[in-house]
Amino acid sequence: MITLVFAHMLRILFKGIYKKPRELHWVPGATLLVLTLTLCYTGTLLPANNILDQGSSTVSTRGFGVVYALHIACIPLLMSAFMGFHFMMVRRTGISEPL
Amino acid sequence: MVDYSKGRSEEELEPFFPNEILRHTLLSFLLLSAIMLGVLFLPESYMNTVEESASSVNKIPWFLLPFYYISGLINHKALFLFIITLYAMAFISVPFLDRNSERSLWNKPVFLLIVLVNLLMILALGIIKYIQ
Repeated sequence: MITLVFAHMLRILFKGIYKKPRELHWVPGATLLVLTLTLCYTGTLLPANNILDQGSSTVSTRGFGVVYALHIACIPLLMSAFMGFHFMMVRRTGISEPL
Repeated sequence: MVDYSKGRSEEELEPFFPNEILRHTLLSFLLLSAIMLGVLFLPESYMNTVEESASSVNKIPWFLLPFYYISGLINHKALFLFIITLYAMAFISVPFLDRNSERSLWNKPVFLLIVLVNLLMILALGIIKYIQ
């Protein structure tokens, strides 16, 4: 999934499709990529994925609650909102050329 | 304002909200229900998947390697968060930072250089972390 999202982002970047009138396609799209990476990062911090010794981050008991809440609720909700915004903009201004 | 509805079929002009959103939500819930029913009534078939994923959890995903490397370099957690947030904000603001009227990246040498340097930097940091 990450590879495909990254490939999509590179195509948009190299072809300059983010230019007017599609600036607001890029903003939620890029935010979704950042949120996807953050979702994966918070996932690796949870005890089920015991890789804390490899990174510099450590999660305390209180921190666990915050990371867990971010991972299962806050980031997915934000992603849903940005996905809706991204699709709405694509519907409103259309894609630049046939896929 | 440009009218983007011209020349579009009726199906293409169907409202995004609530029609498309409703279909998307219903399909998502149907898929989730199917998985939940599967886990409830056929738990054996999901056992292998759980065991397979449990054996690979100790590895950092390849796309996070550069970030783990940077977090290892910067001991100050707040500074690390600040730098990453600034980098993400710059990435999200690309359309507003690039005011050149030229579309193709190949015709904008300075911007092309910035993009290539960033891509190579992310790649190099990931490889260094992987070798470590």
